Amino acid sequence: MRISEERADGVLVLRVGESRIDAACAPAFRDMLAAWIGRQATRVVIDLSVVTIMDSTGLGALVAAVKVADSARLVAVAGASNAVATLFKLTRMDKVFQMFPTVAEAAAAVRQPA
Amino acid sequence: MIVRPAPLSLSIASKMACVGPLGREVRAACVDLGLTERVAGEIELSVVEAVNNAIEHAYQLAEDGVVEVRLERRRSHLRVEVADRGRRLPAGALSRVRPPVVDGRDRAALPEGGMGLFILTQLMDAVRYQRRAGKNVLIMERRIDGGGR
Repeated sequence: MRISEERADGVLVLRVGESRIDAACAPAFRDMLAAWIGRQATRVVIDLSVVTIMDSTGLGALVAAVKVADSARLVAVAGASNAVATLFKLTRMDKVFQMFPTVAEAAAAVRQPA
Repeated sequence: MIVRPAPLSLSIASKMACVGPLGREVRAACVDLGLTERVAGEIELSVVEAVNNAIEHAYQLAEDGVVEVRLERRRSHLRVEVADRGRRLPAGALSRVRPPVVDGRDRAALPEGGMGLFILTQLMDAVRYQRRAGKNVLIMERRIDGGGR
């Protein structure tokens, strides 16, 4: 499971480096996200722009991560493809996650709340 | 003369690591059948969810089972069967499928699983389950009009 980490003005940007987030990698994905987010209680952007397919186990890993954050407003998803965005919509998780086309927009959003 | 593409049959061991390669094959086959990338992706996701369920629930994560996928283009729809020899689906499971309960104010209660059947019923036009000769068979159909938009 490849995820790279980058910091910009108080926002942790996690760039997922896999095109597929499925049951084979979801447990590792969940643990990595929870470790980053739980350790730092920080403002987080999860960049999914290279992900072409995510299944419900991958989505479950993101849900687990948002539970660890201090507030759902401090976590945002960037760059979801149409297929990934469809999964969020179908499961209504688009009501939980703030979603933005680009990392810059997502980072601006998570910087806003107190 | 009627030319009908031969059905595609794929089998994998009941291991999560095998699901990705299977999904890629299914997507490629759908594209070869003339479906759009979007529809092919939705069929891939439906198959992945069905196979995940077979491995997790029917085989209880035992890795010595087999999951078979059969893909067939009919005149007006694509038919996909996902079959396993594990535990049967509880009676009425498909009719009890409900959307995930998502309340942003209660983050702790957000579902982290149990969404697979709901997702595939949303992406496919018809889904039914049969127990056939000791096998669980999930039959999924997706309409194809003018090449599958």
